[in-house]
Amino acid sequence: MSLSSDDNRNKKMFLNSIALISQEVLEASILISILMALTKQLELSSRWAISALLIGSLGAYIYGLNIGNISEWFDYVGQEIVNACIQIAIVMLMFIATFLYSRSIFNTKKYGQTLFIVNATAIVALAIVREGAEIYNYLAGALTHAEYLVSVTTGSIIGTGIGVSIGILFYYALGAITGKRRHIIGLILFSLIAGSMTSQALLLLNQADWIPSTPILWDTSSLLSEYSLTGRLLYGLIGYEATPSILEFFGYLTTVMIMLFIGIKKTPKIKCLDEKINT
Amino acid sequence: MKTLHYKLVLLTCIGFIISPFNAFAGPPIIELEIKDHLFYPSIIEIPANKKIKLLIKNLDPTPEEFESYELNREKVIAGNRKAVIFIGPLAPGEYPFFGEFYPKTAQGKIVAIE
Repeated sequence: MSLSSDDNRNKKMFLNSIALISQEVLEASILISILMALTKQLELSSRWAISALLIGSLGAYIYGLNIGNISEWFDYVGQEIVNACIQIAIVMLMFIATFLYSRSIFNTKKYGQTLFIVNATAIVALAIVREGAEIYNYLAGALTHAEYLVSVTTGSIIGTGIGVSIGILFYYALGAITGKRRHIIGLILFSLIAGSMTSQALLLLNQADWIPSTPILWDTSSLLSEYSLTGRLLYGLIGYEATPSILEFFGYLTTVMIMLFIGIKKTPKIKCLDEKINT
Repeated sequence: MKTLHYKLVLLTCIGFIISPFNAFAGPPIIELEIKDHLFYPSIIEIPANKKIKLLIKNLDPTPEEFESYELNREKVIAGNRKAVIFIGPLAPGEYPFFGEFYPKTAQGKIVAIE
C-alpha cells in the first residue's frame, strides 16, 4: 500500500515538474526566439544568446540562493519589489529594442546594431534571472527528497524540452512568414509579452501593498481556467489572467499601445524586408 | 535655549505628520504556517471587502511557493523563513490556494465572509 502511494506521489511530482518548469522556461524561450529572429533579419550573429543564457543563469543562481534574505527587504515584500523592478526594466528594454530595430537610421549602423545586441542580451538575461531563480528554488527543495530524485529530474528535463521546443517553433514560424507580415506578427507578439510583464509588475506591487487594489474587470475562469494546461501556457506566453484587475488591464493595454506605436511608425524602412530568415 | 525650542517645534511637526500613519495600525494580520508541505490552518475565514495581511511562516527547511489563481497571488517562501502577502479587498466567496512546489499536499482556501 505504501509503495502504491509512493508511486502516486512520484507521478504527481513528475507531472508537476513538467508543468512548472515548462511554464517558467517558456517566457524566456519565446523572448530569445523572437529576438534571435530579429537579429537574423538584421543580418547579425545570434551569438549574444549564449552570453545572455550564461549571465542570466548566473544571476538566477545568485538571486535564487539569496531569495530568503531578499524577501525580508521592505518589510517582507522584497521579492515582489525586486521582481516588479526586473519586469519593468525588461519592458523598458523591449521598448528600446523595438525602437532600434524599426529604424534604419540605427539598424544599418554599427553602433545601432551593437546597442541592439547589448539590449537583447540584457532582456533575455533579466528574464532568465527571474524565472531561473524560481526554478532554482523549486529544484533545491524538491531534490532534497531522495525519493523524488528521478521523477523531478525527468519531469524537469521534459518541461525544459517543452518550453524550448515552443521557442524553436516560434523562431521558425516567424522565419517562414515573409516580409512586412513577419515584422507585424513579431511586433504583436513582442507587445503582448511586454503587456503581460507590465500587468505582472502591477500585480506584484499590489501584492506588496505599494499600489492600491482595483476591482476585477472580468472573470473568464469558467471559459478558460488558469489550472488548465492551455491556461498555464497562455499565462506564460501572453500573461493570460482569468480575473484581471482594472489597473492590470490598463497597464497591459497601455504597454501594447506604446510598443505598437514605437514599432509601426517606421515599418516600411525596415532592412531586408522580403528576405526569409532561414534562407 | 533657542535651539531646544526649534527642536521641540520640529519634533512636534514630525509627530503631527506621522500620527495619521500610526493611527492606522494597518490591515488585520492573519498567520499561516507551512509544515511538512501542508498549510496550517488550511481554511482561513476573513472579513470580505477588507484588505488583509497574510503572514506565512515556512517551518519546512525547503522552499515553497504560495500560489492562488483566484487571488492572483504567487510568492516563493524560502525554507525556515516568513513572508508577507497582502490580499483583498475580496468579494464574499471561496479562494483556493496551494503550494506550487508540492501542489497535491499543500492546499487550502480563504473564505471571505460578509
